[in-house]
Amino acid sequence: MSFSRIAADLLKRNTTVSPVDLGVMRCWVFGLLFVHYARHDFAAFARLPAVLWRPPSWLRSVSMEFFEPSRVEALHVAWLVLLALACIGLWVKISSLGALLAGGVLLWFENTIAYANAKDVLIIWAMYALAVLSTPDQFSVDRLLFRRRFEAASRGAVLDKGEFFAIYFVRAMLALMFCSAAMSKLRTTGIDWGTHGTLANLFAAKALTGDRSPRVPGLAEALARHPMWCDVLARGILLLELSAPLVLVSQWARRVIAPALFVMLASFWLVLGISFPMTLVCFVFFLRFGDEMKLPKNATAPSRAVFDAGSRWCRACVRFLEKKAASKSLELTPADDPRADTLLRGAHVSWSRRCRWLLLKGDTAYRGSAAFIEMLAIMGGVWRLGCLLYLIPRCLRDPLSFRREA
Amino acid sequence: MTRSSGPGPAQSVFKMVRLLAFLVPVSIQSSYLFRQADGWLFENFSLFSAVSRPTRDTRYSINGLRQGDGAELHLDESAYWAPRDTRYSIYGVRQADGTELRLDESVYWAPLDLIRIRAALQLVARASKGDEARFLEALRERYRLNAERGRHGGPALESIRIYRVTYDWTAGVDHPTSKRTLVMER
Repeated sequence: MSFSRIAADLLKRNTTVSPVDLGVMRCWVFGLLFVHYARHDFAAFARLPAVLWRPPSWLRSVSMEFFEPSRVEALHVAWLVLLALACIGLWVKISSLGALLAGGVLLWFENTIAYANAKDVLIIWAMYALAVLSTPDQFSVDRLLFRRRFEAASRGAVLDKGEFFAIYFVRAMLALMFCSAAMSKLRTTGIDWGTHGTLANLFAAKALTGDRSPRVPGLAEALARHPMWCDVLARGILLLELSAPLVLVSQWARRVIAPALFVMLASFWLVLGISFPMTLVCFVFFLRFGDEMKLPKNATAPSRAVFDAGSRWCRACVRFLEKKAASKSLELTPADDPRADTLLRGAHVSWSRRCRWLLLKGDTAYRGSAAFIEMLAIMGGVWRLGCLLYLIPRCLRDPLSFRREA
Repeated sequence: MTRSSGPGPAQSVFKMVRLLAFLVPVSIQSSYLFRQADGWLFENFSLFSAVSRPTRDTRYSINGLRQGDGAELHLDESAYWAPRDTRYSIYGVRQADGTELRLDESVYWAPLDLIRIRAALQLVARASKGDEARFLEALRERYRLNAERGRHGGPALESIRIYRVTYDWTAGVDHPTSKRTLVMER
């Protein structure tokens, strides 16, 4: 067994994803980058005096004059176009590689002026993962336009488990980032960081120096008055940051630690007015969007759906689907019907009433809201746009559809 | 065995390259767990790691012995805090009446943020007067452009003043004091 196979197996065990997941993540990352940087004036940095230019030693030969404002503006426009193409998934490999290159140069240039800000670092690694490590995904315009070529590449990608590399990479870099931050605190100030009111002092500095960064007014001031609670908070932060690598090996940790880290970063924004918007976007790599499983053998056409007949919402949807004549390509069976038992047993899948829907299509079984989205796709025409519902994380989408039934 | 049953050499090379593309950045970033170094893309993310407290500090400490059990108590908790903060503060002088207004908000200077501006001020303070003047001129231009684009409703400025302000809350968070010195004007 080769080293790459062992690595792929390790990734597979720790990163269970559906083929649509990586595509939706790509949409979110490139789309939000586009929104965030659409009005960002990179050329403003090119107009600053050259004394502020602080490139790394191995790039000292590059002059700041190379980044003249018109050139930076042109690169910015090119980056936005590439981001838009990469977001919708058109010529996805070329556009995402181009976006990585153009974005890398622009963000690097900005961070060589006076001060290197760490808050853009992770989003660059996310672009790198999507452009270099990922494989063709199931959620792109390419899939519609170049169907035949895409299906061949995608089949290879699924066998190859390429999507695991991209997702696991961003999670690894995120975990290392937090762990490095904790180690840095311990190295610089030792355990005192969590015991001698340093956090209270930071809040006091925010409150008393008239800092006007956008934050919840009065929160830092209130916290600064309780040094003991601030110490407890500081110790919690240290523990949380040190435990970040657990998200790479434990599903339980992913459910607890990843949201806690997200809340911690968001709290910096609320209390201190220091925002990490693009780092927060990278938490999308912890979410799941699709819900499907491969079947041991191909189900026969037409596609078959099992639904919860006890639910008014499901019954209403079934009536709607039958009225739209989608039933020609879709056979709908209530879960309490004996035919459903035979169908499920034949496909080697189990039914859970919690899912409400289960769709058998080709060699794949879809569950819950993912099954409903796939049924919309089967209806064809404008209903295919229902695939955009995949953009809502499964943890929000499934409960929403259940609540509607109640 | 047919030729198509196994991965071709090109595919194997591609997989190996991808594995390296995964492992190299992860390994480099992992090394930063064990060393302190500045950089960009790979770094310590040391934000707030040395909050208001020098790494080495020698000072007198006031301790007391509690009556009864003789336990030793720290009586100078604030000594650990270094409860002061010195930073550059940006003020604008109104064109209309010559009064000052504080401009320590990123909205006036976007896309430059205050952290970057303060770092830049430290650099130009060590550079020539010409660089200092060019930087303050660039700031004024940013202020004017952002006002034109409707990002802030600040008044037209006569000049920009940079003060070095020291805040001190040694006497407690309810009794802060501040002292400011004009260091640049344009």
